Amino acid sequence: MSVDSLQRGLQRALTRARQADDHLLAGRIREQGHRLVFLFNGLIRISRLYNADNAAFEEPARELSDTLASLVDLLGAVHLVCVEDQVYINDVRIRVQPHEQEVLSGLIEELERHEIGGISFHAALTPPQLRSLARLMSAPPGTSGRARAELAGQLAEAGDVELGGRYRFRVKGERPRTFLEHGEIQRRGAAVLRDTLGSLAAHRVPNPLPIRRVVIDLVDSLKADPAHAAAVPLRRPGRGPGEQHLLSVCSLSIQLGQALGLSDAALSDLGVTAMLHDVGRVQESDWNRHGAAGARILLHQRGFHEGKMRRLRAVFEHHQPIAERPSLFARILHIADDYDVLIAPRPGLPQIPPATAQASMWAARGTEYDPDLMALFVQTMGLYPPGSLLELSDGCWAVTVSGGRGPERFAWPRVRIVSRSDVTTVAEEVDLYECRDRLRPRRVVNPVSQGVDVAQLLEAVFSAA
Amino acid sequence: MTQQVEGQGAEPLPIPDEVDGGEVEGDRLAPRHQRVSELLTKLATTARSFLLYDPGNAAIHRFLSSLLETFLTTLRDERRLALAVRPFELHFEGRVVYLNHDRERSLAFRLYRDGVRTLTFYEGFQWEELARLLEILSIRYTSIRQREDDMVTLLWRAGFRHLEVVAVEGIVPDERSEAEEAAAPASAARPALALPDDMDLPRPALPPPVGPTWVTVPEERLESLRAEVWGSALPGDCLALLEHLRRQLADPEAMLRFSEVAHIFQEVRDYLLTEHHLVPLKALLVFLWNLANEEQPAWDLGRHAVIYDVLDSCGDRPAIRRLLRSVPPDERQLRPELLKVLDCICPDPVAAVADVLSEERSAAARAVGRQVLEHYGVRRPEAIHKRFLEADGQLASDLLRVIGRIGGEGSVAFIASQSSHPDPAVQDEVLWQLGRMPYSGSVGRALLEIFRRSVGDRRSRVLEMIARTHDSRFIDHLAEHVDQHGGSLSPDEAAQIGRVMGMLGGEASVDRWQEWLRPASGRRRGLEGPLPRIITAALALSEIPGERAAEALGEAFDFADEGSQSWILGALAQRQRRRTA
Repeated sequence: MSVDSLQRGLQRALTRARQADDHLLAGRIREQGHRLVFLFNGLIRISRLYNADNAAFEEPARELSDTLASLVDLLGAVHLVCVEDQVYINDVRIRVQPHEQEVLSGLIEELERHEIGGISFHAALTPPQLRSLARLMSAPPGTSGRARAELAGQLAEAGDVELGGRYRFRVKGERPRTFLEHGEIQRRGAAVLRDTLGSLAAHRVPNPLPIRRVVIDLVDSLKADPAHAAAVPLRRPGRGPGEQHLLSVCSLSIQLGQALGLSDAALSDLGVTAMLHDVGRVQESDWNRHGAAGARILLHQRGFHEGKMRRLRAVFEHHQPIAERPSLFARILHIADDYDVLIAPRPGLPQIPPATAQASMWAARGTEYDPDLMALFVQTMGLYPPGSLLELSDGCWAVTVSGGRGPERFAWPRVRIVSRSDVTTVAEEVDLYECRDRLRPRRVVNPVSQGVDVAQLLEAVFSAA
Repeated sequence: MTQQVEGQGAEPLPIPDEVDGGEVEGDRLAPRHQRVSELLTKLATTARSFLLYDPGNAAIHRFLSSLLETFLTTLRDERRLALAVRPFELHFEGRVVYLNHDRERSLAFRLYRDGVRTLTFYEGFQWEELARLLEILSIRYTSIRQREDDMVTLLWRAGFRHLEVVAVEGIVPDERSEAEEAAAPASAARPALALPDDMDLPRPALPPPVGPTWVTVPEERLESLRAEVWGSALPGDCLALLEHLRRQLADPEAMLRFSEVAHIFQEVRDYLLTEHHLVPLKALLVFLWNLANEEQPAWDLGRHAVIYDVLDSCGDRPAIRRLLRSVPPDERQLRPELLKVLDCICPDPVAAVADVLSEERSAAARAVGRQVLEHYGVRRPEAIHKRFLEADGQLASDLLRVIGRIGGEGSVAFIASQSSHPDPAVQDEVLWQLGRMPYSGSVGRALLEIFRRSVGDRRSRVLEMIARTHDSRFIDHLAEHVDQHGGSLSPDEAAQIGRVMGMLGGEASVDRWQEWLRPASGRRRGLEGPLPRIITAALALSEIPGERAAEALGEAFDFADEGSQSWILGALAQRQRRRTA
């Protein structure tokens, strides 16, 4: 690479980056957010000086109410978060001139007195509600250690407001154990999905950034142990089937993308796509039209980004058979999506064992599914994908907890023995490859017909890990 | 400091060497720390320069070369460079090596506010990684990409191998608050969106199960799959997406209006233009034209108007400028696909390209623009002539170049007739063109006209061109010029005119120059006429071979006064040198 090509490359990258920005939206959030912060701080200060019925409140309260309504209209829930000496509105940092920093710090201090680090407005508030909120904020704080909880208790009349604790920046490297983090990522992912889908259902502009952050964590986490992804569809940690489906497809897609050797950047684009691939079902009841409906929702996002273009295309194509030449992301999603739909437990539907589901999909490789991607998928899952209930040659039952592990161990997973007398607990892990001379899988057992709750067993296995 | 507006060209602008220097006094640091300090100042300067200037600017080229060289030499010696980021400072081994309190300019402040806490460079850091780092730093300087990526996701995506970045990964509740949360959840619960339980159903209908086996996928097939998400495949993805949108636009059940998707078409167009993907760009434009030719559906009666708006914007100045710049600067060769694109977007490509050329400063883009005009000018020369008559400055000069290239009857005369054009840029162009034309009476007259109207360097260039014509008819005109302006000509100019007249006149003109060196009447010593006239004649004789010219100079020397003698002596010496050579 020469200086010339470096310079040209940078020139192109910067031009493309400029194209990616939704100037209008970012500008509006900054402008309105700036106004919200300053008006809110002003209203709290005024509350200390005047009685509640003083006319001095009227204009700023009305203006704050309008500003908040405008932001709610734009973003859905408005999250004001203070970290160090900075204030963010829904991840967009509010920029201030040096001489305005004092005002920003003033608001941060006002919140800090009540041990509050952020406020979420889930709906627009009327001027009286805002006056009430400001009055409560300006009052002396409650007992130390419970100040926020006490204030929260008095907030009923202040409308749909949620108080958050103190926040800090999380710095790379301060990671908890992988398994715990995986669970935490899934939990956070579900929360982000709820916010995002709610926002999209209300016809707001898509904001993939929070989802991308979750996906990046997921990519890092699955590098440590891909078996987590394979088990996600069967685990039911109290989420609705819809959210769980999106999280499962995301995990499985990333797992398949990693097996293919996609770059981290492509994996994050793929993961965001997977998280949003069924967004059309939020508005469209006709299954056959949900892809187009989803793309139609997502295309409201402004600004060029390769992730967006590939996402939109894949959302259109993720149920197309390979003869119609769907994109790579769509072909990956197709496999992950169908696998999850087949094995995930559903009220009123027979549960299909993972190994059986995979075998059915294997039979459709080359027609429904990309044969090479299907081969990779099977390699990562193994002959008996994680969560399969097996009857072993000694008559014991075992649930599989590992994926393919290479050609030699493809048919020899690691398993946890399940006691037939107590099907809710699992014993030590056994590597069937290591003891293949004396023990082998005899057949796949349908757990439902045997009264075994595989989801519960997997939860126990992975939580304990 | 001059700020350059985006896209105004790649000509160098004056940029000071250091635009974002730190406040650290280098001479108080040890030599190692001083070198790191200089490196960081260069990094800050270069990163911010992309915000202030056109990225194609020659000065940025200089910054980049210098920055990389400093990186390489510093890392070769240090092997590892760990920098701690503080709000206004960068620390190396506990010493402040970069300090800048100006929020707008401080690299440290920007890095800190964007969440970077440490940067560690390792030996092996090279072009590619420097490019990615500068891209991220520069992008953040311009504060863009709010929705799809942020600093942390961009750094993660970059996948650095010789640069370790410890950055803030997000905002999380601190431990105390998490404990409080568990004890007393705060106020109102969030409104939950209930996704339909059957959102992923129905299950697919599949054939009977077949036991899978381990199938190894050849590496070349894996590589081919991975290539589907490389940058080179993105234009295809974009066009495939637009095809889906086209189907939706035609679907009476979807009832999609074009205005809802117009921005996607514009974004794809801008991307294809920026990345110089002209073939897919042409496909996009054909696609739009096809849409425009279809009947408007009942649910979207304003469709044609919106499509035409998009098409119009495809041919606006920024778009045409990008098109002209789509040819790599070192290539400067018109590509056929560029013409096809122009055919799709411009009802009058001559006017559109000429409009852009009136502001374009990049020499390479101008060259491509001239070739475009030449292509269309062959069929419509009158359009080029007409536009030339309305133009001035560099555009007029470019159009004249095009007229010259198109050629044809009357183009020589037309160019020659511009010799009296008041615009210096046009006069320069006329000269450039005349120098490349076969010599004719028109060319001669034009040269003479420019000679008369110009001064200084331009007149000197014209004289050189006149000398190459070998047309002795110039002698009378030049002699007349000397006679008329003899008193005001500088000696150097007179000398140049003399040499040219000598070359053109040859031996046949010796008598004439001898006459110009006639002794002064009366008893006083000296030659007749003003000194410039004498110089002219002496230098004319210096160019004429043969003894007669030498004798004429010798005779003149005997009568000349001191001022003239030095010139005559010089002319004789020149003849001698030429003969010796």
